[in-house]
Amino acid sequence: MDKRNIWVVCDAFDHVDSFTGQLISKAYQLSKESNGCVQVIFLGDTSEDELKRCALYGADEVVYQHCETKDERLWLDILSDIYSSIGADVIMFTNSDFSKTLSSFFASRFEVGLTADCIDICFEDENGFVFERAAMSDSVQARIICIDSQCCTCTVKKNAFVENVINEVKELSIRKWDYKGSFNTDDTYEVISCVKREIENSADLDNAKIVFGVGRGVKDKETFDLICQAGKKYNAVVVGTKCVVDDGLLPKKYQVGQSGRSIAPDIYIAFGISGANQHLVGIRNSRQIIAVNNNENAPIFNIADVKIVADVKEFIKEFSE
Amino acid sequence: MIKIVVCLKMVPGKLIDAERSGLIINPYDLFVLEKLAEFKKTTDISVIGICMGGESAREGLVRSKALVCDDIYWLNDIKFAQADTIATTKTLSAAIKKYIPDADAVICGGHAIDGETGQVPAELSEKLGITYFSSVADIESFGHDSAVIVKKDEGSEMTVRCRYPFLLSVDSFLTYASNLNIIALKRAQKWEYKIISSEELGIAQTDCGAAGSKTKVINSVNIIYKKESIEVGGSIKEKADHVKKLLQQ
Repeated sequence: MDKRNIWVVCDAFDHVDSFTGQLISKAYQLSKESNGCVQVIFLGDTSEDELKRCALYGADEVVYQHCETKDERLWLDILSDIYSSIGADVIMFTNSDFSKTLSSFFASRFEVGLTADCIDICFEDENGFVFERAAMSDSVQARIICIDSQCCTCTVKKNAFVENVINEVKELSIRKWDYKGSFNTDDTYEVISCVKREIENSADLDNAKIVFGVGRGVKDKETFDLICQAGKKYNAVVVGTKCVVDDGLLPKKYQVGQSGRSIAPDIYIAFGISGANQHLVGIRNSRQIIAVNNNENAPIFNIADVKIVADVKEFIKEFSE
Repeated sequence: MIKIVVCLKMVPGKLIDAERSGLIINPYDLFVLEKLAEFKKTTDISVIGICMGGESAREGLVRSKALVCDDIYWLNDIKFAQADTIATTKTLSAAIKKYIPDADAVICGGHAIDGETGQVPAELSEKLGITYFSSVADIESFGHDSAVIVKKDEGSEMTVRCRYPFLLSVDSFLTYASNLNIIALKRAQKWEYKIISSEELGIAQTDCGAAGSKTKVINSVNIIYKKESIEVGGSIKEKADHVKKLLQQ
């Protein structure tokens, strides 16, 4: 049978970090399981060298459309043009705001399945491609398939997959697409003012080897400050559960859990975190989890490697000595 | 008069408050309703709510009516149930095209706190063929032929004038309603809500509900694997020292 086309939609404007590398690596793995062909659909303005790098992660082909405007409607038309011509069985997008909109437009236009914020994708003989995402407020992961759908599309959560340079040497074919539609910008709106905000860089969290987590059990600012101080001493990033972020102790980018980030440090120390499943989902891939809580029955101890039953405030005072 | 459609979803109350039973208005939708209630005091707007839901949605719809809605289309039919985002979009789109084809603005909460895909607003704008604005943090004004909104996304905060018609996806939320008054609530309870079935809507069975869905949850797996933990005993100091040692490795 024909090879399955597994697409990774790559946005040249946003391609600086390893996010698309993660997707291409996953696509490569899936292609081996499903007799697929990895095609990177690269939109934007980039160099030949950058396109060639896709081979490192396992791409078979790059379809490149040079484009100087980053606009969801325009990219939808370009993707539609390419899709109508070469087809796809699976389309993977990052879960950036732009990609979320683009993928929604695409899924709606072609009436195909779209799974949001995937944390895993696999290929099974009986089910085909299975997409996994966190289910609502639970310790479970929903497994989703597409039905009656010409292709399966998804947005992928950052760091769900690992960027992996492949062992084999791949022959990469680069195809320059020639979109013949217009590149006119939308005149139904007018930007009155625009203030650039500092883009919240999450590199510190992505690369942190040691992370300290703060939960509801950290009851006062003094304890919180001591934890932050200790964090500086050990070069640890301090994160929090949803409650702590909602209370304003930490900014949203440091929220770890189902509706926040997922992290996988070498050591994670949970201070005063009870262990609600929504938070555990975000830390479960940590190499070693140390939990400090004054309730010996706290659910966090179910996934901790090291259990410390102690009052957090007392503990942190000793710990900071 | 500016015609504004608000897409409403009722979600489990226990998602905000473990003690709360039943369904509540999705907090992102509630922000929209409250915002429009404020505008209604000074601007000539007509607010029409659309909601896909069964009988359990009634309480939320009563509150929506009491807050600001002039009219509500309640898409209530078992055939609409178990819809994924594609089927939901097709159903909402069919209703808007049939009942409020001349809407100036369609406003949706950015995502529902159950599900949390955040896909319907963009999908809906594509089906309706109207301009889409995501990450809307606030609405500043509704003018004669355009509105002014504030968009806050990853890298910037923009004030944008948007010509009608358009669809907004709003990222601000409220967990309680402040503009609700008793008289309006009583009136809303007595009101006759238009219940729209799939026949009345004129939508094909294959375009709504489970039959119209393109994705399906086949099963769920537990992802929190229990471990055997080693308990550290001793005094607080000994416990702290143990952790310090682990960090030094």
